Amino acid sequence: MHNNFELIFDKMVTKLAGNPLGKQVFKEQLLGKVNYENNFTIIIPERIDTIASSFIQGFFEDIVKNIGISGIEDKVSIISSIPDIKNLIIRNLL
Amino acid sequence: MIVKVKNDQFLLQKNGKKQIKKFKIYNKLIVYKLNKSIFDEAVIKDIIGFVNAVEEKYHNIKLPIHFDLGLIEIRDKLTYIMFECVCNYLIETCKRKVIVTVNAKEHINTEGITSSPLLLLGTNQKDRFSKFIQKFKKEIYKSHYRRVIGTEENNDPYLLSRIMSDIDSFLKMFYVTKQHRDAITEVIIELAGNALEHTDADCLIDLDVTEPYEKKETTGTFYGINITIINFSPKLLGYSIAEKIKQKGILNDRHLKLLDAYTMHKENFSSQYGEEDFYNIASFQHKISGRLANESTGGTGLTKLISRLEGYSDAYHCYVITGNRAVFFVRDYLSYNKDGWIGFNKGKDFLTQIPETELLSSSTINIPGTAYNLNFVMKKEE
Repeated sequence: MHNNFELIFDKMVTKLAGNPLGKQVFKEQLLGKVNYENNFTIIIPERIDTIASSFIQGFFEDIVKNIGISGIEDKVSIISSIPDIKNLIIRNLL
Repeated sequence: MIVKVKNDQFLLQKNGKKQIKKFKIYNKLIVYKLNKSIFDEAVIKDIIGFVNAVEEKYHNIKLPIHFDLGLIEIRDKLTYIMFECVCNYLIETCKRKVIVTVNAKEHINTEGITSSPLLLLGTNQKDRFSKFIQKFKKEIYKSHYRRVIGTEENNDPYLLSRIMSDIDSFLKMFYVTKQHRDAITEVIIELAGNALEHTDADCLIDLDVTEPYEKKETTGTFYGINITIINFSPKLLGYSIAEKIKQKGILNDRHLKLLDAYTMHKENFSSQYGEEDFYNIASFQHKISGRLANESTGGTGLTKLISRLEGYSDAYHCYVITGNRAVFFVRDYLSYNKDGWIGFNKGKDFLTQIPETELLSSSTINIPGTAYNLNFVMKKEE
C-alpha cells in the first residue's frame, strides 16, 4: 500500500477531461494500491493546468464510495500547480 | 483518411419529403429558390424535404443542386450549421454536387457564416467539393474552429483532453479572458464528452469568435462567442436516463428521487410538457447520470457552466433541440436549490413542480440526436 501517488499522463497533455479517462487513470494507478484507512497524497504533474469536472468525477468515483467527500477533505492531500485545487475538486464532487 | 460523418442520414430521414410536381431545372441544375428573407429552421425543414424529393426522383441522375438563397437573415448559428450538414450529406454521401449562392446579413450571432465552408460552394474553385468535405470536418482558421470528432478516434483516452487544449489555444488568439476561456472550453468538452460517451455517434463542434461590435444603447465594445455542438443518433438527450430509471435495482437515492419526481410530473403532462421534456430536464440535474453503474459522482453540472457563461454575458441565446423538442437555457431559471436540483422554474423546485413551459417548445425540425446552439455576447475588457 502506498501513501503517495504521483500521477502519470501522456507527456503532451496539459489538460484533463472526460469521465472515462478519470476512471481509467484511477484504475491503472490507484486501484488496489490505496489504503483508505490512512492519509494519502495525489501529486498531479505541474504541466497540468486545467481539470474538467468530468475527469474529477470519474477519477474520484471510487474514492467517494469508500471514504465519502468528508474523507477526501480530511485524508487526501493534492499537490498541483492549479490554484486552490482541493476546493475545485470538492466543488465538483458535491 | 477522412471518414464519412456517422449517422448524418438520420437528419434527412426524420424530416420528411416535399411533394414536388415539377422541379425547376436550369442549365442542368436543379434549383431551390428561397423566396423569403428569414433563414430559420422552417427553411431547413423545407430544404430537407426538397433534397429527399430530389434524391427519390433523380437518385441515379446526379444533376447538381443549386440553392439560391438570395439576401437572407440567418436565425442563429445552429440553423446554418444544419444547412452545412445537409450539403455535406449531398456531396459526401449522395455524391451530388451542390452550388450555394447566398448573401447573409451580418449579425453578431451568425457572423460565423463568413468563415463557413458553404461559401466554397459559391465559387468556381476546381477542388471546392473535396475542400468543403475537409473543412466541414476540421478547420482552425482565423476566427473559426471546427472539429468533427469521429467515434473511431475515441480509442485515444486523451482525445477530449487534447481537444480541450486545442480550443483553449484557439481562444487565446482573441480577447477572451482566461476566466471566460476556461468556462467556454469546459462547456464544449463536457457536451462533446456526453455525446461521445452516451450515443456512439460522431460529434460536431463549431466555434467562432466575432469581430468587435459597438452597441447603440450601451457604451463599450462587444464580441460574440458562438458555439454549436451536434450529434446524430437514435438516442435522444434523455434516452440514457429514461432507460436507467427503469432499472430500480441499480438506482441510488438521488435517482430514486428522480423516479418519485417522474410520478408527480406525469400527473401534469400536457400538450406543452410531456415525458420527453421530463427526461430532457432530468439529464441536466446534478449527480444524475445516464451511466448504468450506481455512481455517487457524475452528472457534470452543465447548466451550472452554461449559467456561469450567461452570467459573464451581456446577452445570450442558448438552447438545445433533441428529437422535436427544445429546451431554452434562461439564466434566471438555471440555479440549483440547496439539494442540488434545478427546476427550470421560479421555485427552483424540480421534485414537486413542473418546469416553466415557456422554456420548452416543439421544434419544427426534428434533430435525431442532440444539437446545442449557444450564443454569448460578451463585453470586451479593456
